[in-house]
Parts: sequence; structure tokens; C-alpha cells
Amino acid sequence: MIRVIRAEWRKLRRPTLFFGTLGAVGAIAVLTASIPYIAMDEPRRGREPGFSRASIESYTGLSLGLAFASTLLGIVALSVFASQTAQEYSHGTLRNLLVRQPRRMVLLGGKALSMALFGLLIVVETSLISVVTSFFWANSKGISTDAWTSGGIGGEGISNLFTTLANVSLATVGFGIIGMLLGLILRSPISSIAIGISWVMIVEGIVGAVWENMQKYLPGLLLTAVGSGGSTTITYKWALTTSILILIAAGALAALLFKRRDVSS
Amino acid sequence: MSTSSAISVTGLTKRYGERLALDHATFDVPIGSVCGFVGPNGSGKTTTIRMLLSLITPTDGSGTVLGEKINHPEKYLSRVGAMIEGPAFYPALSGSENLKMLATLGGFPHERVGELLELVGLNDRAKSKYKQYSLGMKQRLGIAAALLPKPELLILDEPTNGLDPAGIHEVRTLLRSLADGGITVFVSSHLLSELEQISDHLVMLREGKMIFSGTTESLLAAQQPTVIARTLEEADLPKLIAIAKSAGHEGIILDGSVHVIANDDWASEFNKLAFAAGLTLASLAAVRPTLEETFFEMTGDTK
Repeated sequence: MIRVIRAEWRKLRRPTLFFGTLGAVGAIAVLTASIPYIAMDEPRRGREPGFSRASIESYTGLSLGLAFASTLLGIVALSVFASQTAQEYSHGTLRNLLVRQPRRMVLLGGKALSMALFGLLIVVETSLISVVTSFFWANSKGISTDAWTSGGIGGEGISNLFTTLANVSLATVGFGIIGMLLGLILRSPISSIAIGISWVMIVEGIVGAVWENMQKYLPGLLLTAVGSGGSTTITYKWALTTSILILIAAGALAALLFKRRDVSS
Repeated sequence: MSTSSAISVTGLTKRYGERLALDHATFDVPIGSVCGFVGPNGSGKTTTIRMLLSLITPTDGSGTVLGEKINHPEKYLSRVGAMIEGPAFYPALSGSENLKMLATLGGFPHERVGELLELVGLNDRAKSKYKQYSLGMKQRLGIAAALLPKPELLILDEPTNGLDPAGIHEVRTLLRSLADGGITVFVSSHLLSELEQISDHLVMLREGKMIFSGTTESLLAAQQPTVIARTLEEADLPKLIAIAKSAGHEGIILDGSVHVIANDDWASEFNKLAFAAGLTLASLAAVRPTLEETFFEMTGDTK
């Protein structure tokens, strides 16, 4: 398994993919961490402002940017997992991998773990950039950060940041596993990414808007709810439990496909 | 299964729906041999190789590779090098990085990568991206990847595709030297003339069916040599046929020449008989059939 992870990292760390993804994620982190400060106290078409000074100054303010980045990080993970899985079919490299590691479950598990590590890396990067950006904006807008840091590591602000980090990590890897399953089924990077993003960003949005009850069963919306610690329509506990069940089913299907299917490309 | 076989298959079959890609193939590949795996495109060579490497599951039949059953590839693939249906690597990685990735996966030392790149003549392009390689360079990288594990058995599917004549000669020499060093080489090609020169054993397929398995010598012995003669006047050719027949050899007229089934040492005797009959030969040649000609004769096909 360790050999598979190390081999996968040789592919993941190639400059275009590695620095390209980290750069895009960095931009996402700056953007999502900046939104609450830019939109602060701005009325939204006659409704209450989405971000009040008081809500940003509360202990949850430090993790706002990271929580907002959750879905976008999920999309990045879905794309990376899908392309890294499907390219083995489109390049024909899967046959080389299976000759060198014929235990298919070990190969699949190692690939999933290495990509999960990559997913965690982008979440950690987002967290760091988000925190730095939040302090920058707080300082420039004269927002108090006392509640963010009071109590140190065990304080509410830092604890909430770590909880959000864990939730976003889970959601990001979850989106990645969906991407991996799509890559295995479709065996084409472009199709896998296009269908995955369309489903998560468009189809689930429409289905959820038309049939509100369905929101509780759609994987993209559930993972988004996990990443943001629950939503107005889906509780965190339901989102976490149902997401884990869906991901276990997705993982089992991926394993079955990978183990049984002939490699003829 | 014979213990002297690197590969042994019995009744190996692969069916895709109604189509039989491989139909009950049974053959052995002796240890230490260069075994040519011959057949036209679509005859089932790659399907067979994929089953030997456990990439696809046989519909029926069984087989062993290096003494281990093919449904337990983890027991033998660490001792097997393979290139299947052409080279396949990551375009954005260099040749060296591609090999290091496979070496890491297989648990082979990275020092081997440099040695192999030098062996296949790619050391000066080791850091170039794979997508910048020519077809011949890609093919050589595929051979290098197959040699990573210091294999006991090397399985190569059409390894000379895309190579120029010098490259083809280099690959032939390399395969022969690997076999001389004790490695069993199982190499497929649709170009029969390529394998005739290096193979000491042959397995031949046609439309999914095995039509020959044995030594190259025994295959060539199956086809008698021919003496080809041409007279100054084409009208004299029937007389030559009659002379050959009176000497106990069958002959036919083909493309303005007489083709007589006979050993090459009978050619001089044929010349004497023709001269005695008042015929002057414009040309006389003893020809041994190539493997390709033998193959097409056996399969009843034409080029």
C-alpha cells in the first residue's frame, strides 16, 4: 500500500497539477475569506445583510471563509480524483499499474489514500490562507478579533476553526470519492469532470429547489451541509450520517467495478 | 503443466458476447526460449497476453505462468516484464519519472532506471516529457519498463511497431541476448518475417484459433524447399515439368517459371537433365520458404 501511495504521489506532484491546483485553491481561499468583509452590512435586495459586523466578530468569524470554500474545494477534489482515476484508462496506463501491483484492492486503496492526502493538503492550505486573509480584513476594517483567539487553542474560536477544518476535510474527500467513482465508471477525465460538476452545481440545485425533501438525499448537498456544519434544511447529524452511508456505497461500487472489470484499454 | 514451461495454457478461451476472441488455445512456451507469437491483427494475440497477465478473465480454460496459476497473478508478476499493446505512459511526466513511478510501485531500485534508459538508448532524453518522444522512443521506453524487474519472463506485444529498420534490428539483437542470458521471451508480431530470425519456438493464431505450436525448425520442415527454373523460351516450360516428373518431383508453372518441390541439392541435377534435353535455363534457384510463406500456406490465406 505504501508503494502505491508513493507511486501515486510521483504523478500528483508534477508541477502543472500540483502548483496549478495549489494556486487555484489559494485564489479560492482569498476570495471566500474576503466575501464576508466585502459584503458586510450590505443589504441584499431588501433582505437583511448576510454578514453583520457582530456575526463576523463572533467566535465563528475566524472559520467563515473556510466554511464558504467547502463546496469549491469539493469541486476541485472531485475534478482531481476523477481525472487521476479516469486517465489510467484513457492513457492505457492501468495495465502497467496492474502488472506491477496485481492486487487490485491494494492499488485502488492506495490511489484513494494518496488522493485523499492531496485533498487534505488543499484544505489545510485553504485554512491557513483563510485565517491570514481574515486577520488582514479584520485589521483593515477595524473588526475586533478578540472572540476568535480568546482562550487560545482550547478557546471557542480556535476549536470552531478545527471543527470546521475537520468538516471541510470530510466533505472535500467525500466529493473526491464521488469523482473517483465517476472516473471508474466513465473512464474519461473530461466526461467524469463535466458530469460530476454539472450534477453537483446544477442538477442537485434544480432537484433540491423543486422537491425540497430531496435535499436530504442528494450527495452534493449533503456534503456541502457537512462542510458548513449543517444548513437550514439539513441538520449536521443527518448530513454526516447519510453522507457516510452514501460514500460507503460509492466506495463499495467502485471496488466492485475495479476488481471485476476486464482491463482491455 | 510441464515444469520446463515458462507459460503453459490449456483450452484458454475468451468470449465477448457472440464473438470468440480466443478459442480453446493450448500451448507451452519452453523456459529460456524466444517464442514468437504470430498471427494477423485481430487473431487473439493481445487477448491471450492480457489473460496471461490477469488483466482480463478467461471465459474458459486454465494456464500457468512461471509455474503459478494465472488467477493468482500476485505470485508471478513480480518476475514478469511486460509491454502490452504498445507503450502507455503519462504524457506530462518525463521518461525517467515514468520509469521511477513504476519502479516505486513494483519495489525495484531506482538505480535500475538509469541502467535501462542507457540500455535502450534514451539516457540523453531521460528528462524529456514522454509526450515529446517519437514513436520509436516511446517503444524503447516501453521495453525499458518491461525490463525493470529483471524478469525471468518477458512478454512483449508488437515491440517493434514504429521502429525504423535499425531500431528493429536493435530490438531483435536485444531479445536474443536476453534469451541467451536465460530470460524467456514471449514476443508477438503480425509481421512474421520479424520473428522468423529470432524465434526458436512459435505459437501461431488465426481468427482466435491456434494453428501451430512448436519449434521454428519443425514449422519450416513442414514446407518442402522449392527449385525454381526459367527457360529462354516460355513455351519450353511444360518440357521442364515433364523432366522433373520423370525424376520423381512434382512441379507447376507459376509466373513464367517452373516451381519444383525438391531439395536445393537437386538443382544441379535438374540443370544437367534440362541441358541433356536440349533446353537452356535462363535462371535456376533453390529457395527455402520463409516463415511467412509457410504461415500463409498453412492458413490458406493470401498476402
